[in-house]
Amino acid sequence: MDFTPLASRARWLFHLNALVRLLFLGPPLCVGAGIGLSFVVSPLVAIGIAGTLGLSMTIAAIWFPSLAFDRWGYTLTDRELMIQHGVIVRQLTAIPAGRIQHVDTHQGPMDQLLRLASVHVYTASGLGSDGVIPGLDLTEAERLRDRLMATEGDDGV
Amino acid sequence: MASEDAPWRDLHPASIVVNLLPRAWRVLRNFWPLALALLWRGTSEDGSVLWIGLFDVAVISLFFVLSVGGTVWHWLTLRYRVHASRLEIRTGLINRQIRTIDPARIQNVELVSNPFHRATSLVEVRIETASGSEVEGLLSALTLEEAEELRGELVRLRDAQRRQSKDETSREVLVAPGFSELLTYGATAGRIGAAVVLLGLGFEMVTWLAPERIASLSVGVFGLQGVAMGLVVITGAWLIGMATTVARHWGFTLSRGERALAVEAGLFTRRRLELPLVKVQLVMTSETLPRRWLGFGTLTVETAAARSGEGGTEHHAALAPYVPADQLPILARVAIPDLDVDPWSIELRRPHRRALARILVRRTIQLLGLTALLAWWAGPWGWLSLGLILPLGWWVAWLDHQHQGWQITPRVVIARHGYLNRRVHIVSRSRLQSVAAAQGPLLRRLGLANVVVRVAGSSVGLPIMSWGEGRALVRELADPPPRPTDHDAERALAWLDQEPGPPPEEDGPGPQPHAPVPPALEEADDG
Repeated sequence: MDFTPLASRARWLFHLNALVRLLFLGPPLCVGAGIGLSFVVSPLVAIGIAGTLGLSMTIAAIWFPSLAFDRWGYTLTDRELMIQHGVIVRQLTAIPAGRIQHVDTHQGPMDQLLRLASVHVYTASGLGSDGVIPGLDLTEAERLRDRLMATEGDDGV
Repeated sequence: MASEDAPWRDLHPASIVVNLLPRAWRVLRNFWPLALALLWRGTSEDGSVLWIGLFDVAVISLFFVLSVGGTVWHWLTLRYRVHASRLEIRTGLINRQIRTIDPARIQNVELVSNPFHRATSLVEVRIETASGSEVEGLLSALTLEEAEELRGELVRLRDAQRRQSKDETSREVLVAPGFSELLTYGATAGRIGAAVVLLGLGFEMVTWLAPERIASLSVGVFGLQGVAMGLVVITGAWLIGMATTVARHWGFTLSRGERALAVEAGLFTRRRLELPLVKVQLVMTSETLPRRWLGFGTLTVETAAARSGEGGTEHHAALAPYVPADQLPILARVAIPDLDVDPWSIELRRPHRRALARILVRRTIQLLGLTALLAWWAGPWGWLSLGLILPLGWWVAWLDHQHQGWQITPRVVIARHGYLNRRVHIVSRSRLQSVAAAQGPLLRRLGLANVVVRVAGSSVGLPIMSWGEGRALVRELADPPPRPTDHDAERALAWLDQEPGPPPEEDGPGPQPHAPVPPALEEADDG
């Protein structure tokens, strides 16, 4: 089955998000871990462990977004929406088109910067949004939303 | 009654009295970690007394405000009426909210009466739909006449909208277990969680009333006395659990009307629950090993009902505590007319061979965690016990793997898990909301997939299968067959009426009470 990849700009979105996360989460986490560990082991070892943590977080932040981008894909037929994603945990989700309750398009600040949008698909399963597709081109997201909402059907409740 | 401008009606003033205890219990249950912390703090010997006092006072006053304040506020602000063929419920004063409920959307109407209700001859009406947020239409404390009138009105409106002609008077009782059967169920239910909390509360009382006794007890708490005390607590919890279970299901009957299943049970709190057959999402049975020996199982029927925000739904379930084993497929078929095979006699597809590795790894990690806890408490004996616990755990995991199974027929999804507690889930394919296959690092290494199907309010995991199989299954299940019509439901009921004979003009053989059904549609899903 052919999955449509995300808009190519979404690669930047993933990288930017990872970078922001790293900048905001990395330092407090590393410093916190360092201080916490210094009570248990010698300060030098604690600094070493905190440094390794920071380094691996940085590598992950550089490495992962590209992998994640490559793994994302979706396909919409007249019967169902299928989404695949995930680097560590891979997931393939299928949502019957008739079961979609509502569709949201989200645009965060980063999305707006890159003229992207994400689509959230909700069903009646009550377990949050069953399907999320991030990093779509704005026009593509709107087209997808309209197509998803056009299929009407019995919601199975 | 649906006049131009129906007057708003309020709850009976006794509502405050009637609701206080149940609400207090609900609050207590929601805040059980806090209560537990209170108990823990209260029983620890060191710690400063002042701090404990402050903590206790804070928790208790919070509890008081939430329960009493909530009850009074509820009575003061709640009004309801049936207006223009719709039920309207008004709550709040400053932030006034009017909820309008279309009778056709109502999933369940439940009449509940606890002992206080009965003392004042009031009942609580619970109305649930599949959309919206919070608890839909909780009308606590109406007089019985009001409640019956309201229920009748809602049912009448609903049926008028569905152009239904027959009335709901003809009911057939499907299950009505006797006292000994309920006792058997209670003994095997193993619900000791609530009982442990109750015992803990009792223990706390003793520490308040007679602290010197506890002091004398705590001397030998790690020795033989501790073990004996533990045994006593567990036995006591078990007995209490049994008693509460029996009281809860006292006089249980499951009956079916034209279009709904009705459940009635309870000694102290009598509840009556109606589940429209067309709203059923999931049927689940649980047969633990002792129950299998005794030849029965429990059966749970779930519909989707709104409880939480975000347009979310939560399952609302009716539980039949004691169903003889040969009746399980019949009841399942009543609840899910789509059920075209007997899940207990067809051959199920096995989980993947390599899935055993995953179960073993998970079980080992769980047991290691448990033993670490034990070792922390009991020293080296904890680690020594690992030699006993681990092989036992592996053996049970292997048994579980051996007894898992799943099957997809053109109309239903069947999943079976567990050996010590065998659970069978049955979902109509026409109800599936989404299907997903996932694999973490371990499953990817093994080339396996964890497939989960979701219906409104619940999800069911299938036994682990190969990734290719999972992918194909996701695609196949995403194409739902048409939902069952009223005609299908009637046909299923007609099939039941003729239990002994062969079903008339049936397109597939249905499960019969005494003759196992051949695996009629098994080959159909090989593609």
